[in-house]
Amino acid sequence: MITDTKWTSLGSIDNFPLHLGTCVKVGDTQIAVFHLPTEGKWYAVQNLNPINERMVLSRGMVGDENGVPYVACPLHKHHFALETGMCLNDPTYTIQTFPIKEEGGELIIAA
Amino acid sequence: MKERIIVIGNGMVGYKFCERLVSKDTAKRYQIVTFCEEPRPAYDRVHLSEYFSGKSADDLAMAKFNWYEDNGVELHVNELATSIDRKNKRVLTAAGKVVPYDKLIMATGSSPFVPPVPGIEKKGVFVYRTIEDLEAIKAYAKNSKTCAVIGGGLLGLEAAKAAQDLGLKTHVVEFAPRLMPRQLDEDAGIMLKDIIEERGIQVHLNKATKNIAGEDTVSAMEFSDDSKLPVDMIIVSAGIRPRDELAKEAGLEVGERGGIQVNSLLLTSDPHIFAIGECALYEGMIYGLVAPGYQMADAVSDLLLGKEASFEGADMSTKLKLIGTDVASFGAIEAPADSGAREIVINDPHSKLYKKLVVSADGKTLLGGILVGDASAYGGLLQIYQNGLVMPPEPIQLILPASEGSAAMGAHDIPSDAQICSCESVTKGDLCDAIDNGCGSIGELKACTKAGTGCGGCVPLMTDIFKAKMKENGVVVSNRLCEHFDHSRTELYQIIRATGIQTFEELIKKHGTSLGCEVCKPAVGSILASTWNKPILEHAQLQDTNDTFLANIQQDGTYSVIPRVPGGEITPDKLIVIGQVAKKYDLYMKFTGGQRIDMLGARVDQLPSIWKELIDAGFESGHAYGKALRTVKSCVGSSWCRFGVQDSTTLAIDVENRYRGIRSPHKIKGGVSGCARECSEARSKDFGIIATEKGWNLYVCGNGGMNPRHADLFATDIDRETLIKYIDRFLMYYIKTADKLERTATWMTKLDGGLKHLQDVVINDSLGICDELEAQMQQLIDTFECEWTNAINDPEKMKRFRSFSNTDDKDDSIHFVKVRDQISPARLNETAEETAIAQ
Ligand SMILES: Cc1cc2nc3c(=O)[nH]c(=O)nc-3n(C[C@H](O)[C@H](O)[C@H](O)COP(=O)(O)OP(=O)(O)OC[C@H]3O[C@@H](n4cnc5c(N)ncnc54)[C@H](O)[C@@H]3O)c2cc1C
Ligand code: SF4
Ligand code: SF4
Ligand code: FES
Repeated sequence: MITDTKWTSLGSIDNFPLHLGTCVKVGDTQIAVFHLPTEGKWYAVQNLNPINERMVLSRGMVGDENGVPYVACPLHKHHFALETGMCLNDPTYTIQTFPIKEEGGELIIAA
Repeated sequence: MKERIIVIGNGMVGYKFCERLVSKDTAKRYQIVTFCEEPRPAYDRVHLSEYFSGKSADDLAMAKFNWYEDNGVELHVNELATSIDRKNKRVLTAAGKVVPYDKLIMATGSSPFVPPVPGIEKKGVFVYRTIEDLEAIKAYAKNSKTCAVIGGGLLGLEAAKAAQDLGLKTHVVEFAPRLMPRQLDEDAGIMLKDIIEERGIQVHLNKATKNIAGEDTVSAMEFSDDSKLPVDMIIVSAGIRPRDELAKEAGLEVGERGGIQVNSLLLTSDPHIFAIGECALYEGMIYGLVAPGYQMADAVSDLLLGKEASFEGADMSTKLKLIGTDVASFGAIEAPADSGAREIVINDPHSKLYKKLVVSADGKTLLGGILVGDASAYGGLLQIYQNGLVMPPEPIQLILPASEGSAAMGAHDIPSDAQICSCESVTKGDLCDAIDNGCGSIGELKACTKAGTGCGGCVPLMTDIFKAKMKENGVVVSNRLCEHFDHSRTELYQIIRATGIQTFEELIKKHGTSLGCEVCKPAVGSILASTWNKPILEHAQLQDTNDTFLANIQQDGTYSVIPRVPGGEITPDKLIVIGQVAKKYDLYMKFTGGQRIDMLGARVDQLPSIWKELIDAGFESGHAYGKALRTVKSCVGSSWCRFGVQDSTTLAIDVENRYRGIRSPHKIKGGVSGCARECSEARSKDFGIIATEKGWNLYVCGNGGMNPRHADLFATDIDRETLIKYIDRFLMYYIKTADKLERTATWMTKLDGGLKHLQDVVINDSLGICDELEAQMQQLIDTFECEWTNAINDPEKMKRFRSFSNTDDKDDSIHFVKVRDQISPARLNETAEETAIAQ
C-alpha cells in the first residue's frame, strides 16, 4: 500500500545541535530528535521511555554499541537503537521511530 | 497426518514445552494445541513482582502472540479445559470445544493455598500469583495503609516487599518459629528476620491466625494467642496446591496431598498423558521452582521424539534477592544426624552476614549450605556441590569475605561438563563453545545459549566464566574505558594533558573509534573539565542530562535545584529568598544530607528563571549535579559550641569555596568538626578535618553510601596552611590517577602501598610531583566560574532550556499530587481527579 507521507516542518536545522537530543512536539506527540555525525545524521524516536513511562529520552546521551547508534535513557541507562527503536538491553521493548530528513535547511518529520 | 498434542495450561512450563518441541521437531511430526485459563499467553511469573516496578504484561510475556502463530502452535487463551475423556482421548473446554488428542500434557501449575481461616473470604484478602492478582492488590492498596502477608516463605517475603513498595506499612505473619523454614536454619532465620525488620517490615513468628475480623472488609487479624493486629489488607502466601482437579476427575492417580503422580518418564497413570511443572508429583515431591519444570518440559519433548530422556528429581537450591538482601541455600541445610558431617559457620550479626557450609566427615565433600546477606559465593559453591568437586583443605576459605583473599571457586576450576544454567541445561562447555564461535558479550551469550534467561540465578557465574574464557582466548580484558577507547582513564588523562586536546571529537578521532557512549563521554568530559576547567556546558554533549541541564533529573523527568550553601551557614535573608523562589515556582523543599536545601520538581524551561532569581540574591551553583566537590559539612565549632577547640565553620566555608566546582572522577565530600566529638561526621567524607588542641587532624578516603568506610588518619596536629597544602595535593593526585567513577576510598585501596604510599607522595613528595600538583590545583581554583551564571548570560546555552524546540508549549506530561502540603510526582496511572496539572 502506498500512502502519501505527510511531512511536518520542525524549523531550521540550526535549532538541533550536533551530538545532542532535542525534544519537539508534533500534534500531541512528544518526539526526541537526535543529530549525529553519522551517515544518516537525523533520527527521531518517541520521547516516552516505555519502561517507566516518562517523557525523557530526548535528554539521554547518545552513543554507539558496535556501531549501532543509540540513546541511553537518562533515568536508568537503557539503550534504545535510534534506527530501529529496539531496546538493546531488553529486546522485548521497542520504541516508535519516525522518518525525518533535512530539506532546504529545514528539518521535516513524518509523524 | 500429524499427531496432535494438547497442552493444558500455558504457564511457564507449558510454554517451555511448546518451545522445546517446536525447535526439536524438525520433521514436523506433531501439531500442538494449547489451552490457557488466563487471559494472556504465558508470562514470566518468576519476575512477576516487576509488574509493580513498571514492567507491563507485555514485557513479562515469554513470547509474543505471533510466536504461536508463526510456529503453528494453536493457542486458546481464556479457555479452561473442563474435562478429559480418556476413553475417547479428547479434551472438553468451557467454551464447548471437544478436541481429540494423541498425547496429552498436563501443565496446569498450581494455585495459592488459602487456609480455611474464618473470615478469609472478606474483601481485602488477596493471593499473589497472576497479573490479575497484582492488579487487584495495586488498586486496593491505594486506599489502604497497612498490609499483612500470611506466610514467611520465599513468596511471602517477595509479596511483603511488593506491599512495602506500594507504600503500605507491612507485616509478615508466619506460623512456624522462623522465616523460610524450608531453606534456612534457625540462626539464618534470625539473621534474615533482623535484616527485614531493619528495613521496616515487621515480622511476627509463631502466630496462628484464628480469625479475620471486619464487617465485609478486613480490619484486623486475630491470633490463637489472643493477640490482634489491625490491618487494611491481607496477602495470603501460605504455600501452593498443585492443580490436579482435572486429573483427579479423570481418574488419574494423584498424591494424597495433591499433585499428579508421575514416573521418571513424566508419565501419569495413563500412558498417553504426561504431567510437568508444578502440578506434577515425582517421588513425593512437588517442585515449586521453574528450573525443575523446565527440565521436565525438556525431557518430555525428547521422549515424544523417540529420544532417551528421563527426570530423576532436581535440585531445590535457590538464590534470591529478598527485600534487598541476598539469601541462598542448597543441599542439606543441617548436618544429617549421625553422619559425622560438620558445619562451618560464619555468623556476624554486626555486618549482617550468615554463611554456613555442611561438609562431610572427611572434609572433602560439600553437602549443602546457607548464605544470608552476601551470596556472591553461591555460584561457585553450587558447582562444587552439584559436581561433587573436591574442596580446598580449609573449606572456610570458600565463604570468607572477598577482601581477605578468599579461595572461592574460580571459573577455571569448574569442569567443562558442569551444568551452569539449570533452567536451560547449559554447561560450561556450551558457554565456552559459544564464546569461541564469536559471542563477545554477556548479552550475546544469553541470546545464543539461552543460559541466564530463566530464573537468572546463574548470571554471576556465567559472567565469571565469560571473563575467564575471553582472557584465555587472548582477548584482553583490560581496564580500557569502553569499546571506544583502548585506554584507561589515567592514560587518557595523560594524553589530554600532554597533547593539549580540548574536545572530545578530537580525542576520539585521534585515539578512539566511532561515536562514544555514556561511559567514555562523561569520563572524558570530566578529564577535560578538570584539566582545562571550562564551564561544563561547553561539553554538553559529553555529559549526562544532569550536567547538560545543570540539575539532577528526578524519576518523573523534572529536575532539582540546589544552590551552594558553604559549610551549611546561611543568613535569614538568603533563606527567605529560597523560600520565596520555591513558593513562586511551587517546588518541593527538603534539606539534603549535606546541610543545604533541595528544591525539586522544576521543568527544564523553568530552570533559567529560577536560577536567575537565586543568582540575583547572591547564590551560586551547588554542583549537586556534577561529579565534583559537593559540600563541606561543619558544626558550629568554637564560636558557639562549649566543647569546640577550633573554628570549624570558618574553615569549612573556606575549604568549600576553595574547591567548589572542581570536576573529579567521582563526587567529593568534605567535613570539619570543631572537636573530637565529631558532630559533623567528617570521618565519613573523602576528606575529613577534626580540630585538636594544637591544630587539625586530617582524615582521608572515607565515604557513606552503599559501602560505608571510615576515613583513615592521614596527618595529626597540622596547622591550617599545611592542611590546605595536603588537601590540594591529595585531591589533585586523585583527579589525575583514579579510574572513572572511582571514589577516593576505592582508589586508595587499589594504590600499591595504599595509605602509606599516599602519605609518601603527599607529605614526603616521594614522586617529586608536589609542586606540579599544587600548581595544577591553583589553576583550577583561579579559573572557577559559577556554571549557572555563565549559562544564563549566554543566549546560545539558554536555547536548550525549553520543553520543545518547535513550540513554547509546556510539557503537559508532568503531573503532581499534594503530599503533606507539598508537590510530589504523580505515580503512573494516578487518576485524573487526584492530579493537578503542573503550572
Ligand atoms: C511471585 C512469584 C515468584 C516466583 N519466584 C520464583 C523464583 O525466583 N524462582 C523460581 O524458580 N520459581 C519462582 N516462582 C515459581 C514459578 O513461577 C513456578 O514454578 C512456575 O511458574 C511453574 O510453571 P507451571 O507452568 O508449572 O505453572 P504456571 O506458571 O502456574 O502455569 C499453569 C497455567 O495453567 C493454567 N491452567 C490451570 N488449569 C487449567 C485448565 N484446566 N485449563 C486451562 N488452563 C489451566 C493456569 O491458569 C496457568 O496459567 C515464583 C512464583 C511466583 C508466583
Ligand atoms: S564536634 Fe565538637 S565543636 Fe563541633 S559541635 Fe560537636 S562538640 Fe561542638
Ligand atoms: S538513597 Fe539515594 S539513590 Fe536511593 S532513593 Fe535515596 S536519594 Fe535516591
Ligand atoms: S539457572 Fe535459571 S536462568 Fe540459569
